[in-house]
Amino acid sequence: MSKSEILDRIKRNKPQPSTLPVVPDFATSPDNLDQLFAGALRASKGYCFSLDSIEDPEVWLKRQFPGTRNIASAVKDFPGNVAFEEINKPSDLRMIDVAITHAQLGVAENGTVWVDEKAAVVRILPFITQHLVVVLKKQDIVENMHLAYQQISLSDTGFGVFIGGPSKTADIEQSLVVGAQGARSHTVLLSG
Amino acid sequence: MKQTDTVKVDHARKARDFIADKERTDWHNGAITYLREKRDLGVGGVPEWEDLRNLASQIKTNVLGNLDDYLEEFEKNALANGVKVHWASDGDEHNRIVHDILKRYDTKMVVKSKSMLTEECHLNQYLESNNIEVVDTDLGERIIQMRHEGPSHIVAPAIHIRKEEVGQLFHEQLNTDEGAADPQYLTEAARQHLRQKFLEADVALTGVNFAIAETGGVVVCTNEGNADMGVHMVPCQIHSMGIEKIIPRAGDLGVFTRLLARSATGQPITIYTSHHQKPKPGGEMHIIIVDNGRSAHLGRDDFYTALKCIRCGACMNSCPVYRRSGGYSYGHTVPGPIGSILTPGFNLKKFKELPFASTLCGACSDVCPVKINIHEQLYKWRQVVGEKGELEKSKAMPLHWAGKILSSHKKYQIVGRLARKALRFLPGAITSNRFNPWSRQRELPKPPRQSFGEWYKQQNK
Ligand code: SF4
Repeated sequence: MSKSEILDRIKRNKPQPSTLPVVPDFATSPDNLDQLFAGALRASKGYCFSLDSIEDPEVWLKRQFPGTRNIASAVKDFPGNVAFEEINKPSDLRMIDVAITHAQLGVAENGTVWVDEKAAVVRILPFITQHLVVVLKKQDIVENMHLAYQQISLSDTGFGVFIGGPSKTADIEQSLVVGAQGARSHTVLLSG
Repeated sequence: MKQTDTVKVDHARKARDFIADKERTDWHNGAITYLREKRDLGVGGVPEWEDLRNLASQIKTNVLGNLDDYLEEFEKNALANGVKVHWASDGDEHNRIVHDILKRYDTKMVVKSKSMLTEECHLNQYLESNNIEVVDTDLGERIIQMRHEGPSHIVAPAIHIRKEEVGQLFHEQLNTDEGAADPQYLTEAARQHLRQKFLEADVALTGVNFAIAETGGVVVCTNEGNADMGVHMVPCQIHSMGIEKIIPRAGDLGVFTRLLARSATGQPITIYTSHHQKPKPGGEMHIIIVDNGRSAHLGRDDFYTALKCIRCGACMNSCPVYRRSGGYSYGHTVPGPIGSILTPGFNLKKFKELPFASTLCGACSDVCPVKINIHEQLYKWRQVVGEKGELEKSKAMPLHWAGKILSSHKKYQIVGRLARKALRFLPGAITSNRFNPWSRQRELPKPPRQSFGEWYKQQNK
C-alpha cells in the first residue's frame, strides 16, 4: 500500500535520469603495500607485527595480553581454549578476552581488514572480544577501497566488515578514547 | 513530517541565547573548527579527492533520477537474501512498523545505534509511550539521551557538552566518582553500562549509511562498534533507511567510504564499516524504507539535490553561523546548512527563518563531498519565503524599499548621497536600534565622503 504510493510519488517527481559514471580504480600500484598498510593502521591506533617474528604463539599471546583467560581462536597456529561448537548464542562470547581470526583482505590506504562471517565464525566475535588479533597474508593487501570492493563479493556473504582499528570514540569533548563499545585493542599479524 | 506544527523556529533568538555565554561560544566554535581542520588534513592525502567528489555527485544524481527502479531492485534482492522489507510513508507509519515487530518479540528493551532518521520520526518517544525502553548506544547519543536532549550535531551529537557536565551526569546516573571528568574514565563507565544493555536487549535497531540496490544489503558505519554489538547479539535486527540512501552498485562504496569519514572527522575510514546482507543463522532481519517527505522534495527542481546528502557534517563544521549558534538554534534533527535547505521543504512556516541563518559565504558548498550547491539553495529558499509572503516585517520592509531604489538609477544616486551625509551625523541610537538586528555586536563602518561614481567623474574631469 505505502510501497505503491511512495513509488508513484517518486515516479511523478523524479528528475531527468542521468548516466551512471564508470568508477576508475585510481591504482598507482606502489611496491610497499605492507608498509603503507602498517602505517595507516598504526595511525588509527592499531598494532601491526610480522607473523614470522612470533616464535611461539602461546608465549606471544601471554606476553601481549597478560592475565588473559579466555581465548577464542579461528586460526590453527594459535591455540584457543574456547570451543566454538559449545557456543549456543552470541552472549556466550561475552567472557572472551582475546579472539584470533583470519582476514581475507587488507587495504593499504586505511589499514582496514575485511572479516566476513566465515572468518569471524560468529558474527559478534570481532566486536565482543576485549582484544582482537587478525592474521592477514601480505599478498592479500590491496591499494585502496576501489580495488577492495572488486575483490570481495558481497552477495556471497551474509555479513562482512572492514575493521580499521580498535573501537574508539571522541564523543566527550573531542578527546580520543580507545576502547568504546567494541574491542579495546586491534592487532594485525602479517604473514608471507 | 506533520504540517500542523507551524510555530516558527526563531533561529536568531535561540542563537542570541547561545552566544550570551561568550566563553562557551568560543569553546564551541573551537571544537567545531577543530573537526574541520582534521577534515582538511585527512583530505590532503588523497590526490584524487576532487574526482571522488565528482563521481559521488554523479552517482547520487543518477540515483535520484531512477530512484523508483533502484528501490524496487533493492527490495527484490533483499527479499531474495531472506530480509523482510517494509515501506513507510511517514514517521508515524515507520514507528508503527517497528512497534509491530517489537511486539512479536515481546520486547521490553531495544538498543539503537545512531540514526538521524529515527530521531526525525520521534521513535524513542513513541516506543517509550508504549512502555518499551529505548537505549541509544553511541556514547554521544547516550549522553544526550540521559540529559533528555536531542543531538546538536549529526556526527558528534554531544559536541556542545563539557566533560565536567558529562562527569556530573554519569555521577548521578552511572555512579561514577563525584567530580571525575576524565574522558577515558567516563568512556570506560559508559562501556560497562552499555555492554550490560546489549546483553539485556531483545531487539536491535540501526540507521543506514548506504543501501546497495545490486546486492540488497545495507552498510552501517561506526567508530565505537555499538551498532554491531547490538545487531549481532539479538535474534532480530531492524535497519531504518530513508529512500535516498540507495546506491546502485557495491563498487560505488569505494567512492563513498573514501569520502564519508574523511569529510566527517578526517579519518581515512570509520573503524567499522559493516555490510549486512542476510539475517544471522536462525535470526530475522528487517529493513524499513521511509519516505517522510522525501519524495515530495524530489519534485522541487531547485532543491531536490539536497537529497544527495550523505550526512557527513562537513557543511556545519565549515559554517560560521552554526559554529557560533549551536545545533539547537535550528530546531531540527539535522541542523546547519544542510538542515536549512531541507527543513523549509518539510514545513515552510516552521522553518522559514533557517535559510536566513547564513552569510552565504559558500564554505558549505565548497566542502560538501557530494557537491550540493548548498549556499545557492539557501539563497533560493529566501526567495521562496518572500514569494509565499512569509518574510518577517523586519526583513520585508527594507527589502521592499531596496527593491524600489535599486531598480531606479536616479533614486539610487539620491538615496546614496543622502545616506553618506546622514550616517555621519546620525547617533548610534538610530542606526543601531531594535529594528536592525545587524547592529548587534557590530558597528557601522564610517561612510565614504564620495560614492565610487562621484569619484570616477572627478578623476575624468
Ligand atoms: S550537505 Fe554535504 S557537507 Fe553537509 S552533511 Fe550532507 S554531504 Fe555532508
